[in-house]
Amino acid sequence: MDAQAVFDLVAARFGDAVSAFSAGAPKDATFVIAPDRLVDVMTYLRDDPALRFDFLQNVTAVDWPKEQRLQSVYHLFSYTHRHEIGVKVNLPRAQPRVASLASLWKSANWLEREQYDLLGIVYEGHPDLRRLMMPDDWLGHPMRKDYKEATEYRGMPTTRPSPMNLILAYDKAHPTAAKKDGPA
Amino acid sequence: MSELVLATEGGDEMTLNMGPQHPSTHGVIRFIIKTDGEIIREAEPDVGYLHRAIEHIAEKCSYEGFMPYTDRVDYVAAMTANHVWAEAVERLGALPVPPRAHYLRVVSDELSRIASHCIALGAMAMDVGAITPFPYCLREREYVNDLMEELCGARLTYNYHRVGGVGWDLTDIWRDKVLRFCDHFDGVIEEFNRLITYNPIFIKRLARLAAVSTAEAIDFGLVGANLRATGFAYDLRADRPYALYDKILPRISWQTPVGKGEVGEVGDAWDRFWVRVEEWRWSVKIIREALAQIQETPHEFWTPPKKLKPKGEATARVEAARGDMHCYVVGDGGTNAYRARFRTGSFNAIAMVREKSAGLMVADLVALIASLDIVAPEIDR
Amino acid sequence: MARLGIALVCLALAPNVSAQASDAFVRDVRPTTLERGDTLVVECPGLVPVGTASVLIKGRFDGAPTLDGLVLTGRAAGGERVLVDVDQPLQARVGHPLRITDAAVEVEQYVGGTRTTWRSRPGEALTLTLFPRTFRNLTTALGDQVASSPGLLGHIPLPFVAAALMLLVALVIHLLIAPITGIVVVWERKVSGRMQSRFGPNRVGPRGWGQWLADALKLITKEDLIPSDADVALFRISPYLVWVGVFATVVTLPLSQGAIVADMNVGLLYVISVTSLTVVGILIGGWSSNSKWSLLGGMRSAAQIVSYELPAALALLQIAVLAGTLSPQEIVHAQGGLPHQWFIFANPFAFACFFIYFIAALAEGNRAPFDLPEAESELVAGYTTEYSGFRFSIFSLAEWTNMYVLGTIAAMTFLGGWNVPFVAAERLAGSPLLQGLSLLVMVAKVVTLVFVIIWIRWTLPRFRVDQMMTLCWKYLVPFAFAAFVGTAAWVWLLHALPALDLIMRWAMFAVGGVGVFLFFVGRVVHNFRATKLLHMDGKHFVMPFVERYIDKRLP
Repeated sequence: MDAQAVFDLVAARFGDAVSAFSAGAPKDATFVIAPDRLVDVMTYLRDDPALRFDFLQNVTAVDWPKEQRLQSVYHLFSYTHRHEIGVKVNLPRAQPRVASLASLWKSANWLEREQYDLLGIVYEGHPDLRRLMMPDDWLGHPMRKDYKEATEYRGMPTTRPSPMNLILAYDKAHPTAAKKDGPA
Repeated sequence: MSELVLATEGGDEMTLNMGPQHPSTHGVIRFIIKTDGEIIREAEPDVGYLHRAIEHIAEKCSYEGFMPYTDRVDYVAAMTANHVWAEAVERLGALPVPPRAHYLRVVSDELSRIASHCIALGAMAMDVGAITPFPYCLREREYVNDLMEELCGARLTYNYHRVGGVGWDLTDIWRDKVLRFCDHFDGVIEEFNRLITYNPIFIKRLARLAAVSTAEAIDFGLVGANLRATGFAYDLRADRPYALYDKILPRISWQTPVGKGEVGEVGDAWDRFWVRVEEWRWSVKIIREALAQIQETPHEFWTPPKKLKPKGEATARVEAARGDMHCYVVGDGGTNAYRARFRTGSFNAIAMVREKSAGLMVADLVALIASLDIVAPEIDR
Repeated sequence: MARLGIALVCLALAPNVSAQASDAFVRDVRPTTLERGDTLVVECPGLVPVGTASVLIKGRFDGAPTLDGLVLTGRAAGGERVLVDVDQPLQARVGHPLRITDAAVEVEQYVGGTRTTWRSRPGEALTLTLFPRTFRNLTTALGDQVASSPGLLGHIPLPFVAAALMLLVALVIHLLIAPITGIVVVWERKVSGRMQSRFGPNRVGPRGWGQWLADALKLITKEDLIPSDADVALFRISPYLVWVGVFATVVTLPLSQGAIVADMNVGLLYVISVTSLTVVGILIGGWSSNSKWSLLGGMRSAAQIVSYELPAALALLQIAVLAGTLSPQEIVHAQGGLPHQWFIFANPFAFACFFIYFIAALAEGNRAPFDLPEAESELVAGYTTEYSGFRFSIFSLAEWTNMYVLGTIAAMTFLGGWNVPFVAAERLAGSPLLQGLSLLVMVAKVVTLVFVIIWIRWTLPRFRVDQMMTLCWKYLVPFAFAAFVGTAAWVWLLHALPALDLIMRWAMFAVGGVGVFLFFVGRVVHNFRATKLLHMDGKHFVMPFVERYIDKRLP
């Protein structure tokens, strides 16, 4: 089944909840789901015998600060029918909360944890929503476009002087540096 | 991990802290194991020690300039990570790739897969206690590294693939060498099987260990050899061909190697081992066929993109050494990627450890981790 | 001191006597000197282990002085044995058996006013064999020497002298064994290197054989770290317990016909029991380290060694049945130089027991495939995780010495020990050349066994804890018990039909020895032919690991 047919099926059932289909071969076909209907649509995508998207390939979050939104992107694949589709959910950047899919696909557990960690989308109903990559007491979500790294973490500086600067400083302090016609 | 593991515990439960520095965690991973003596009640993986924010770096580099970083996504089989990035960007920018480049990508991918499985299988044998297979595998991997060095100048992080092709063409001498290595490697597989695969103690250790059913594997998102070991024949190379696999595989009468439960249950740790051994065989066949077909292609191997400023989004999937590697890239019309995302095979596999570890013994956990072929940098990126 | 030295040399060369009678009555007479004042052991069923007994031996030597009415009196000891004092010197040449024809032995015992008499059947022959005095007698003899002629040392109380002598012997053992262990370590590394297509150590000393010295030096000069919260006293003592457990066994292990420190009459029992000390050491080390990996290693080791002692001891019990003694030298005496005379081919049960013992001993020594206590991929380094420097080196010293001990015990009990083919054990004594040959034979057997141990380690994967226990309790222990019953039945059968012995031995040798060897060679040849590996170096590739770093253009 091609992406257009998938979207038509979903649109017929959920109406306004799905929108903005883009069939972009060779790019990816995607459509957008309203955040409050996410679990319904996903359950349908997974369970409908004609669709049967049994494999949640990827969960990604994309930060769009200009539009003040965070996008949660899901890539689905069906081993049964060998078709795939991308699904997006647009969330307000100030309060990015969306229902977790961990109850539908077990692989969503860690994928969502990582996106929560790095971009700060709160997946509601997630069984174990902790940071994955960063330490638990880390502040902020590093993959956000406006993230500013703290200067230190637990007393450890997060930056170090560039080795190049050290070399330059050494060169400047070197006795030969003062001579104008010294070695280059 | 907020719960600090303290020395005081109550009852008959002991908390073991396996890693981050441990001989068989295959990189820097930590497992917090709750055991009753030798029997594990729960093993909770704690990852992130190797997090290098590669996805973030992608936002700071140009599309072409990010290629060396993809080597670091999975440095055990760097070619496939190169490939998935190149393919994703090509799809994003709708760029042409000359056929010779596709063949070279296939050959280099398969060589890389052989090298990666050398590490995976050797390390697995070593984790089960047999030390000798590991140096055997490393020896073969050294040959592959020699070949890679001659092809692209690097032995580990190749940076060979380019957006729109590959970096260098092959030479006739190199082609002969690869074919000679293929002839040699067929014998090595037989030797390896005799040495370890069918070793009774090895079978005893791995048969029926942490068997995964197909439904479970798909639910957890297991990919690659781990998925195929459950008896489910799905290989991206055959079922969703990329590069020019669709021209190669029919010519070698490809059959996706799947776990058969030869010595125990379908989908047990031994099956995962065995499927990888079989993948060695098929990789050798693919290389032979690709090198035969590459003779007929024109010598153009790279179409460098001009003004690469794509807009939109694209995904690419490549059958990497640890299975389906998924790359999602978003472009906003600039020279850099707006967002790049890699979903790797190890990431899904490690999430499975917690479910599968209850009731195993400490020694089994080590075998389970190894059989899922978990590589720490691939998880953390 | 000069006098002491002369005494030492004299005593080392003085003859020992062993007597063997064809009659079951005086079946096994311990080797001992038949000099005035010495002790002879006569075995006699039914002796009460208290009170005195007198032994009357009648007969005459073949063409030598008669023994008519040689009366010996002694104390009954250990049930069926009587230790008698010899009050009449026997003269004979070393290495030439004396055959007492028409031997008649009478043993009388008085217990509580009751007199009991045992007689051998008349017309039986009794053979007395003279051996050179073995090293085992050194300490005793030196003690005697000092006691009888005080001299300088006479002013020191005897216990102190004895202690000093023991120290001297201990020093000799260590000076002998430590280099052997070191060489075994280097050898293992070289063998493993060859097995894994790489060189082993090849820098220190000639072809790398000095590596063990460098390693030892490095380990000794390293800091002796003790973890915080460790039980310091126990942590410190544990390596030494392991060490003692292994080294104490060396005392009873014969290297050749003449080279043994103490030929105890309970030698086998001693070896089995003293090795158990290592488990105490390992357990203490694992527990006191205050590390969970160490603790797991220690617990595994305790379970493993305690379990595997059982099949090992049971397997060695067959030897006690076959040889009728626990003394190491006599066990070797009871075998011969040719393979069919070895105990391994004595009957199918003994053949099985050799493998049971070998497997169990591997487990007791924590060698692969039973190296669970120090499984590096699971427990980091097991009970040695927290040890460093000298203490760590003691653990490794003990482990590799244990390989030598294992090899020696197996060679001594099952593979004929130091017996030289076609040379009677008695004739070894007379000639230094033959003595050297017997040493070589023994060393060759031990080396072969140690090689097999190394080979196994670098080939096989490791068992899991439960599988290891299953193997022990469900397979080895029952089989060992069955084999024990079988051996006992076989020995009993042989009393009735002695001719069966030789037939069985040849049959076992043909099947178990030649057959297994041919099967092995066949497999190796088959494997060689089945796999076609191309030669990958030369113009196509550089050899990995090795030649990459050697620039051949350099002079």
